[in-house]
Amino acid sequence: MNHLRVWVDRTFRFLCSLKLAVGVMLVLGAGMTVATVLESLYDTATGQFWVYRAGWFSFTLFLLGVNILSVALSRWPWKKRHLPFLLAHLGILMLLFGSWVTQKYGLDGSLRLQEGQASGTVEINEAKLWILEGADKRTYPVKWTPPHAKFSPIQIPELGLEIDQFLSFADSDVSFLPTDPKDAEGAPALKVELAGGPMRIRQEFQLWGSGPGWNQLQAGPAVLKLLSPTESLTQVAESGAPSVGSPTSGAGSPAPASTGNALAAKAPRAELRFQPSADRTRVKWWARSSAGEVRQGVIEAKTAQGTVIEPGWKGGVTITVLDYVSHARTRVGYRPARIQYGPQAPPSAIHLRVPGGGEESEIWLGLGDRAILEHKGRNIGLAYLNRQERLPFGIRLDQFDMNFYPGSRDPKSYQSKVSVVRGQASSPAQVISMNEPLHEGGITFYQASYEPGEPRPTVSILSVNRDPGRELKYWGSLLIVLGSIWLFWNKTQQARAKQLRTQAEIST
Amino acid sequence: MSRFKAWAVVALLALQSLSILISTPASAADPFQAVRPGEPRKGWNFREAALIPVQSGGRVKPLDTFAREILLFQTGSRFFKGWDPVDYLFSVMTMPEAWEGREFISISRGDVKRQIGLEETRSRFTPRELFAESHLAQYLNEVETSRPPQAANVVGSKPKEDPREKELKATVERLVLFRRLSSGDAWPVVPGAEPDAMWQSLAAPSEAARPIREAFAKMAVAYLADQPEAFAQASKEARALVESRVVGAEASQSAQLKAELFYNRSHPFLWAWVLYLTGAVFWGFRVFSNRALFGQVALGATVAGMLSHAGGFLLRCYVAGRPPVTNMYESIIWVSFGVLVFAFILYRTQRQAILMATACALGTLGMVAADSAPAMMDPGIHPLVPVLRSNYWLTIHVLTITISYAAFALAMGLGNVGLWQFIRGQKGYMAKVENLNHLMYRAQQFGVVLLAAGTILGGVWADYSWGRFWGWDPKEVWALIALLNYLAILHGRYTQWVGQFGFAMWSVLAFMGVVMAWYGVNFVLGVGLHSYGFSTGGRGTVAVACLVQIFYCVFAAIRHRQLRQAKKSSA
Repeated sequence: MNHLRVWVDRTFRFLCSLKLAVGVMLVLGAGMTVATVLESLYDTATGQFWVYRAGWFSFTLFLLGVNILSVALSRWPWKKRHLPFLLAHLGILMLLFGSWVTQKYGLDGSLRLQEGQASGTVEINEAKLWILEGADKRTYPVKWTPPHAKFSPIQIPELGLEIDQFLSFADSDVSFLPTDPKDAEGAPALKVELAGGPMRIRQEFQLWGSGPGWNQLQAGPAVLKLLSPTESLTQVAESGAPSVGSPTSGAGSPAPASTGNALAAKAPRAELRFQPSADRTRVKWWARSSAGEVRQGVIEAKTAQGTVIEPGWKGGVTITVLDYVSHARTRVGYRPARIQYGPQAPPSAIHLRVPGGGEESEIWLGLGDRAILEHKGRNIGLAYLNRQERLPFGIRLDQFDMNFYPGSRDPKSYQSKVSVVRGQASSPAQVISMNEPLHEGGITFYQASYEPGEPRPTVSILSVNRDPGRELKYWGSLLIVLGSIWLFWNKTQQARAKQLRTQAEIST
Repeated sequence: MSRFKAWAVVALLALQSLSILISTPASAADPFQAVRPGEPRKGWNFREAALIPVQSGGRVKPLDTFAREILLFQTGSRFFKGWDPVDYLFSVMTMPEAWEGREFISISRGDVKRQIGLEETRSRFTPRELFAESHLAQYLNEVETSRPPQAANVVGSKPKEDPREKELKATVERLVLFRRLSSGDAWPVVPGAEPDAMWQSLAAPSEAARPIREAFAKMAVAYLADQPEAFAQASKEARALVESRVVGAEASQSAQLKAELFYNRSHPFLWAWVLYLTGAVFWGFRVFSNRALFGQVALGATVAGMLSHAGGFLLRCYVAGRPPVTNMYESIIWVSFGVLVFAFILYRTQRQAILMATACALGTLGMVAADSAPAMMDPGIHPLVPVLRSNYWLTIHVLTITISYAAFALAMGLGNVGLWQFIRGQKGYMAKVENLNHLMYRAQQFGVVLLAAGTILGGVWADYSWGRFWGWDPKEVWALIALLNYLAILHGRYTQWVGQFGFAMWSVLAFMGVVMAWYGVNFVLGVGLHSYGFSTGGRGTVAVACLVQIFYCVFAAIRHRQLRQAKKSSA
C-alpha cells in the first residue's frame, strides 16, 4: 500500500515537473521544425503524415496537457496569488482541448459549385473505399501515405479482399489487351513510337479504334488518326484551319504541351492516318507533311511489329509500329505519377486483389473511380472516393465574380453570390467574399478558390466549416493573454517591492 | 531564326517610336537634333513632370515613383550614376540610340550571366550586346509568345520560383522595357474612360491618347533640345491634361501624389538611421563618461531619428492608404521603430546609457539593412492581395507579432552586450551582467505576451478569413516555435536552471527562432498560406550572421568557463 503511494507520488511529481514541461516543449519544437522542412521539401500532406497527424505528436500534446493540469493541481489548495498562474495555464488547457474537439467533431471540407447549380454535398479530404454487395454497404478508410513511407496493406476479411498497394500520386495508364474477335467491344489498337523531328523527341503513342478520345491524338505539331473502315483515307479537309486546342490525347500518352504554340497552329498540319481493313488483317497508312507532300503504304498485321514508316515530315521523323492488336479492349491501371507532390500532382490510387484469385480478380482504383469486381460469380461494387457529408440544405451559386486592381492582372477580390436552398424555397442572394463568410445553420462557408475558365471563371470552391471547439479556443486564448500579462505584472511589482526593501535596508 | 525575329520586333518598335514624333507639329527647325545626347540634364526642375499621374502596378502613382521603380529595376541601383529618375526616363525615351551602347542593364546573378555567355565580373551590360546574345533572344521570343497561367487558389500556396529563372526573366523584361520606353508603349499615362479601367499607353492608337501623346511629344522635343523652360512648361501642360482626364478620382488624389513625391525625395528612413547612428555613438560615449552633454546630444539625435522614422512611416501609410505591414521592407522599418520604443519604455525606469546605445545600434542596423538591399526587399508600395484586404484583423495581428520581434531583438542586442562582458571579464562584470539580464528579462516579457497575443490574433484572423483557427501552417508553426523557445527560457530562469550567463546566451540564440519565423519561412521555406510575403535572396547573409552569432556565443562560453575556474582556484 505504502509502495503504491510512493509510486503515485513520484509519478505525479514527474508529471507536474518543469523538466517534463521543457522536455515536451523541446520535442514539440523539434517536431514542428522537421515538419516545416518536410512541407517545404515535399508537401503539406507529408508534413502532416510524419508529424502533425502522427501518433507521437498527439501523444506529446496530450502529455503537455497532463503536465499543465498536474502543475495546476500541485498548487492545491489554491490561493489568490495563484490566480494569474492558474488563468494562463487553464487557458492553454482550454486551447488544447478545443483543438481536440475541433479535430474530433468538426467539419472541414469543400463545396464545389458551378454557376446556376445547387449542392449540399461537402467533400472531405479523407479517402475511403466503399464496398457494395447487394444491400450490404461498408466503408474502409484509406490513410494517405507518402511515397517514401511503407504502406501497410488493409485486409477486408469479410469479402476476402486486400488493398495491397497504394500510390500516393498516380497517373492512369491504359493498356490494350487482346480479346475475343467476337467481343463487340473489341477494336483495333495500334502502338507506335515517334522519333526524331526538330525537337529530337522519342515518344510512344497509342491509338484505339473504338470511340472518341483514342482514335485521334496530337503528336507535337502532327496529328495521328486511326480511321474506321468506312471513312475516306485520303480526303483532306477543305477549310484548311483545323481547330487546335482540343488535343485529344489519352491519359496514357501525354502529348508534349510545349509544342502547342502559335507557330504550329498557323502552319498546315502534318498528319498520319491509319485505316485497318474490314477483316483487320492489313492496315493502310497515309501521311501528309506540313509542306503538303503525301506518302502512303500498307502494313500486314502479321509482320506489323517493327515496321518503320517514313512520313516525310520535317527533321526526318520516323514512326515505328511497336504493336498491332486487331481486337483489343482497354484496361486501366495506375503507375507512380510523373509529377510527385505539389498542386499539380494527381491524386492517389489503390490496388485491390483477392488473394489467390488470379489475374481477373485484381483491380486498380484511382480516387473518384468506381468499378465492379467479378469474382467467383459474385459482383462486388467498389468505389474509391473522398468522404462526403450531406448538409441539411443546399447552396446555389448564382454568380462568381473576380475583380482586378485597375490596370493590372492582380486580382483584387473574389466573390460568390449564393442562395441557401431548402426544398423548393430559397433565400435571397447573399455574397461570400474573401474575409466575408456566410454563416448558415451552424456552418460557415468561406471563399476558398475557383477554377479558371474562359472567358471568365464560373466554378467557385467554398470551404465549409463547423467548429464546435471554437468558443473553447477563443476563451482559452483570452485567458492565456490576460493571465500572462497579470503574471508578469505581478513579478514586476514583486521585483520593485524587493528593490525598495533593499534600498530601505541600505539606508537604515 | 529567333534571333532574327527579336531584331524584327526591335525594328518595328523603333519605327513606332519615330511615328509618334513625326505625328507632332514640329516647332523647331530640326526637333530631332539631340543636344548633349544621353547626358543628365543637371540643374533642371523635374517637379511638374514628376507629378504626372501614372497608373502602374494596380494603382495611380506620380511619374516620379514610376521612374524610380524602372531605374531600380533596370540598373539594380536607386542612385545609378546620380541620375534623377525622371531625367533618366526621358533620356531613355528620347535618345535610345545613346543608351544602346551604354552599360546600364543590370544582371545580378552569376549563373544567369554564365548562361547567357557574359563576363561574370561585370554587373551591367549594354542593350546592344544583350540583343546580340542568341540565348536571350530565344528566351525573349518565348516570353513574348507564352503567358503564364493563373493560379486558381485564392489563399493557397503559389509555386516556388527558381531564383535563376526569375533573374533571367527579369533580364529579358529589362530589355523589353528599354524598347517599350522609347516606343511610348511603357508609359501608362492615358486615363481610362471608367474609374477602375486600365490606362492606355502613349503608343495606344486611340483618340483619347492623341492629345496626351502630343503633350508628351512637346516635352520630348524640349528635352532633346536641352531647353529647361520649355520642358517645364510642357510638363505643366501635360500634367494638367492627364489630371483633367482622370475619371472618378477623389479630390485628395493630387495631394496624395504630392505627398508621395515628398516621401520619395525626402528619404525619411535614411535620415532616421543617420540620426540613430549618431545617437548610438553618443550613447556609447555616455557609457564611459559622465559628461551630461553626451547624453543630451544622444537623446536629441535619438528623438530626432524617431521623429523622422515615424514621419516617414505615417507618410507611407497615407500614400498607400493602409498600414505598411505587408512585406519584409515594411516589417523591418516597423520593427526597428519598435526597438527604439521598447528601449524608451525601459529607459523611463532604468536610466542606462547602454540600453539606449544598444537600441540605437539595432535601429541603425535594421534601417541600413532595409535600405541597402532594394532588389531583395522591395521598397515599392504595392496593392494588397485579396486575402489581406480585411484590413482590421490583418493590421492588428501583424503589428502585434512584429512588435514582439522588436522586443526580442532588443533582448538579443542586450544579450550580445552581456556576452561581451563575459569575454572582457573585467572586475565587477557580474553586476553589469545582472543588470543587463534584468533589462533582457523585461524585454522578453513584453515579447512573450505580444507574440502570444499576436499568434492568437493571427488565429482569429485565420478563422475569420480561412475558416480555421490553427492549421499547422509553417508561418504559424514558427511563431509558435519562437514562443516556445522564449517560454522555455523564462521557465528555466524561474527555476534557476538558467544562470546569468545562460540567460544572456539564450537571449541571443533564441532570436534565431524569430529570424526563422520572420525571414526563414518567407525566404527559405517558401511554403504555406502566407505566400503573399514569399520572396528570395539574402540567404547567405542571414546564414553568415547566424553563424557569427553562434561562434560569438561559443567564444563567450569558453571565456565564461575560464573565468569561473579562475575564481574557483583563487577561492
